[in-house]
Amino acid sequence: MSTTLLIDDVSEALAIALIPTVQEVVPSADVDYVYTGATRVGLNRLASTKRTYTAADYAVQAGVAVTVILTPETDDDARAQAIATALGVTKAHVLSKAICTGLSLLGGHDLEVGPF
Amino acid sequence: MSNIGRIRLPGFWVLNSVIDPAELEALDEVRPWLANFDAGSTHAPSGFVTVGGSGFQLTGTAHELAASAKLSLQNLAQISIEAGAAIRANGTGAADILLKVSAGGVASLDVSSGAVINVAAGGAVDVLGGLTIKTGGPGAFTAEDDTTSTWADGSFITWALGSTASLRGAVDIYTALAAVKASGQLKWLNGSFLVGESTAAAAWAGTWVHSGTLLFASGTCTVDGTSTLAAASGSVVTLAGTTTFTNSKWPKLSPTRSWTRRSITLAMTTYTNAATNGPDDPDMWHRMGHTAVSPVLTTRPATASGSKSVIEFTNLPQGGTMTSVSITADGTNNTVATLPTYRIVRWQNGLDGYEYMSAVTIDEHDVPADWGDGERTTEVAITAHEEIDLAYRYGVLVTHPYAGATSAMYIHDVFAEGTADSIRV
Repeated sequence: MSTTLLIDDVSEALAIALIPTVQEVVPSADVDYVYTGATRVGLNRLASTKRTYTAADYAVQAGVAVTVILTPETDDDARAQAIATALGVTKAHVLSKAICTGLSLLGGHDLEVGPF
Repeated sequence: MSNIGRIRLPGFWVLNSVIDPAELEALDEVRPWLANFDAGSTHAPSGFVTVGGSGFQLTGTAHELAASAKLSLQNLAQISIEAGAAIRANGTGAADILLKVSAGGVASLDVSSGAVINVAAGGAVDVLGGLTIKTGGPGAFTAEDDTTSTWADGSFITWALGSTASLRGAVDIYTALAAVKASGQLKWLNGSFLVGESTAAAAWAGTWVHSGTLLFASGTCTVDGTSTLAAASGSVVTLAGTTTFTNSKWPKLSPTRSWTRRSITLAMTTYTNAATNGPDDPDMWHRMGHTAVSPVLTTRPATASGSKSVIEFTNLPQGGTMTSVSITADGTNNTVATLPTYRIVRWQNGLDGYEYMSAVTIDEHDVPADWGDGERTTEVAITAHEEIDLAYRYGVLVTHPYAGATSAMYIHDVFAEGTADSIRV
């Protein structure tokens, strides 16, 4: 199921920069694939039981918004929905934070970014 | 339970990316779930591990389902044994049962010596093809004590040419008939016995050919009212015991037999040309014949009528039919005025008169002038009381020739003829 959400421009740039590296393993990878993969990396952190998140962690952040249409993997969509339900936030915000955090981690930055 | 997924999609383990501890936890979490294909491992998954695709291939000889383990095959599932392969029920020694397919592709269930196929009470073996007891073993079919073999309505047993059915126990036949077909034979060998109990019955519509001895040791042989017991030409029927003819029946003769009875037994004669009552001067007596030395009857020459005699038949067949009486006579002289006559009579006693069985018949010499030209035979036809009833006496009433000094006669032969269709007393 596709979801329309917002990321920031920094995350967009990270995604585009990551494409060649991913293509070394998946030659057909495009930016949408990068967004999907980054979503999983982000959810690996956000869904971890080692940390306790609250709804406040999903407050919208300021930034240059970029619209993204994301089709997450089935399991990732379910993890995002579970977080949204548990914290009383929207799945779009959960996925936004997941993409942006995932791109940050993939970029070597131990930062949690978003949602937008 | 779904398959173990990737921590990251392909391509995302990139250099310098931050690995979250959760990702490492996730990697470690599945390690216990992994099978140790080196040293071996034990697992108890909470759900099925479903393997499709090319499946498992097991080599080596150490694979097993552990004690009490169970392998269930669901709808349409199969275990397929290919050419050269087998499933073995491993009995003691070589007493195995193999479900196998030969190298040539023939599937079989091989039961070795000492092994057995058991079908419990209530179970069944349905055979739509052939069931062959093979030579070579040789094979054998045994039904134990208290078991039942049933051939249902419409079924067939065929014993091929050259086969033998050896029955050493009892064979009970209820409503079914044992039919011996055309060219078939039921043979009783030396020492064998056929027994029918007191209310048993045998019905034979064809021909019974008997070449041995038919012995009625006790009981009754009955030929019913619509049947015939016939002994063919050339046969011999010997009755050494008592033969009883019941129901007022007599033994019949077929075809009707002819009989002849001869007699020159004198039952009665007149005396002295019927002038006296004797005993002197009988009008007929026995003497030696004039042409041969055998007995004849002769008459006194009579000058007048009246001389009569009766020649009696003493051994006629009871119930027979008399058809004629013949008298062979000749005259003592060429001349006689009146030829003798003959009449067949019967009587019961000396109180009642004769019952006439024929007309009065003149001697065959026909005319008196023929009287001296040798013997002639006069045949008298029976016209009444033809059936012989030995409550009566039978004879020829001879009226002597007369009217001539030498008008006597010789009676050389008297015989009655007739037929009989039964033997009576």
